[in-house]
Amino acid sequence: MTAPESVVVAPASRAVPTPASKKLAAPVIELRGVEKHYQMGDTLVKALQGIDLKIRHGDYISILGPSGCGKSTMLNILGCLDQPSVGQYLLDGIDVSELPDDELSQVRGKKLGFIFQSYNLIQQLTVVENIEVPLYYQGVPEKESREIAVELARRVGLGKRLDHRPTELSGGQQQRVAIARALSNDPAVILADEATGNLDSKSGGDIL
Amino acid sequence: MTPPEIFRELSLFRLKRSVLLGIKSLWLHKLRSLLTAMGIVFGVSSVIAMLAIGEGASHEAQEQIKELGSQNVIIRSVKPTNSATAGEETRSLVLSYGLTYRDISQIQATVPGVEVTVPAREMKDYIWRGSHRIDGTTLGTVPWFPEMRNRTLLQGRYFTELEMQQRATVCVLSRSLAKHLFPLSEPIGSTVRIRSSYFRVIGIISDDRAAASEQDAPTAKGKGKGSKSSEGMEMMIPLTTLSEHFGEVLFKYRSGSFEAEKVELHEVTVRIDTPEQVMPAADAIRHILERNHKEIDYTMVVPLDLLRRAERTKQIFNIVLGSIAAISLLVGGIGIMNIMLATVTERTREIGIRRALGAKKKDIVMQFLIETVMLSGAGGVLGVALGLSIPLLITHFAEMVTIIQLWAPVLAFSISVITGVLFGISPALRAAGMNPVEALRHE
Ligand SMILES: Nc1ncnc2c1ncn2[C@@H]1O[C@H](COP(=O)(O)OP(=O)(O)OP(=O)(O)O)[C@@H](O)[C@H]1O
Ligand SMILES: [Mg+2]
Repeated sequence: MTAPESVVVAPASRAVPTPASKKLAAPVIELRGVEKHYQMGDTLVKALQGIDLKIRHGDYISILGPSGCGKSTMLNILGCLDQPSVGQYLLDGIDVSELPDDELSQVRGKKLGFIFQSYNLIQQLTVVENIEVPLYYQGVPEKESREIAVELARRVGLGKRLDHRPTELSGGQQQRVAIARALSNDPAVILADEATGNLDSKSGGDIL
Repeated sequence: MTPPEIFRELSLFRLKRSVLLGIKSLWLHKLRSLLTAMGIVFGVSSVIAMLAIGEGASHEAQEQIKELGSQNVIIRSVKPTNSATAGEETRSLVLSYGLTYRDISQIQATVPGVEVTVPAREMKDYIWRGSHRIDGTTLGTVPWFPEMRNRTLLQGRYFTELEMQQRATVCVLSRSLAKHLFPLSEPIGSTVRIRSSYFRVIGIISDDRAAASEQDAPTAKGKGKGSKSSEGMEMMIPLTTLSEHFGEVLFKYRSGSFEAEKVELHEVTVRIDTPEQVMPAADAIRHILERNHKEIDYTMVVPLDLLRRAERTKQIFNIVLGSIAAISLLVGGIGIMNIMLATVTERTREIGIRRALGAKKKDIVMQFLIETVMLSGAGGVLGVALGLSIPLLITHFAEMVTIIQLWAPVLAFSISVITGVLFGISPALRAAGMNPVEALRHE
């Protein structure tokens, strides 16, 4: 059994349209002295300490470590679901470590794609509708978002399952919906927690 | 496209999608949603139904009162019940009671702005057509009686002043009497008989719809008038003719017993010039009558007073109704809130997912608020449908008048939606306040 792993992917495709060469050098993600503390009664749990990290476009990065070492914590910070206690986090050049909640949501919706361990599809929505969720919060018009979602569903091989609900899909198919959903907003970074257990590199890696 | 246009399109588009999403979520638990909405359904429908019934009843009462004429005061003679003087009078074989010409002249002289317009005497006796008889009331009155009392002439004509002067033996029948006396033939031009006097029928007048309400009138003292069987069986003849043919003392033959009564006037209608003067004038009249009569052998009906009472009753009814409505909607709202809180907990994970995928707090608030409002709104629609059909059924089966005012369903529906908003806010805020990380970890 391999150690649990978190994966950060910065798709190269996004780097291509950026014209200037200096942009190529700029990292998508930059952590500067990030720490995360949890106050548990009297004791201060330091889940993360002194993290410096740079991830560039096209990078595929796995974070490995024993259980409880803080992988999930770090991924939550990278995914803008949580904010560092100390330090700075620059995402695509923007400092997100102090952003208010609404803007953090905006950043998540625009720049990040999530593939959750248990896929986390929304049960009452169909395959296409699930893929559309990030687009919906970005305010993409209905027709356009439907086109994008159908195209993505085709690309992950679910062209014939558009109107199925998650409960009517196999595990692998659900995973592919999750991947399509993570790609739908054309994110700068895709994050996956505890990926090896579920993300079989054959289908997952191919798509990425 | 200008920025405001984009904004408008965006929010409209979002609203439409949010509504569709809400329908989907509610549809996922059809039975639960239906049961939750039931509280609102019954609240809304009972409000509409009760309003319709109340409005119908009060409308009916007000119509009857208005027929009496809101600027009138009607005074009637009533046979006093078992009093000392009545005993004395019986010994002299003639029972004397009721309104006198003296009362009327005093009222006329002392109360300003009044006009005694419709004096009437009445006589209860059999009205004959050939060998067919009806137990009815013969009313001796004046030519302008129908106009003053809002009675419409259905056929023929009323008697004239000339006929009154001449003591003509003409009569006008009430609709019920005409129907009973002449079930098949044409009444106009026919002859009816009372004792030994014959009268020619010249017209048919509408029934006294107010009779029933007068009897229940709170101001009426003593015994109610007439027996049920003769109710509405009225025949009008000139006042002068009545006096000439039957005298001042009226004899009654009823089921073997013999009674003699002396009553100068049975009924007087006093018209007051201005509506504002009605209540003071009524008080003045009551004063005069109280002074002139040692015992209560009269009754006063003030239609305006009745109208006011009816309005007050309706106000009280509306307050009671409002409280019932408020309570039932409160209960319905709490039911909805309860279910929405459970739903929010149940869907914690979904909330986490949505937040991770870019939903702002206000998006989550909107999502749950819209869901609650749709739940209560659907309950409102069902409630309006049920509330509109109950009065129809009541009218159809119980033959009661019900009136549905347009604002009633509109109001009830809006209140149901407002209930949804009020009771949806707390669950929606709870959903939006969740920490995304913890929500995602929730099982
Ligand atoms: N909300 C929290 N409150 C307090 N302590 C926390 C909280 N979340 C995480 N921790 C602590 O922070 C440390 C790192 O936790 P984290 O979940 O990041 O570990 P992990 O590397 O993902 O482990 P695993 O491989 O088992 O998933 C742990 O010691 C944990 O107890
Ligand atoms: Mg973990």
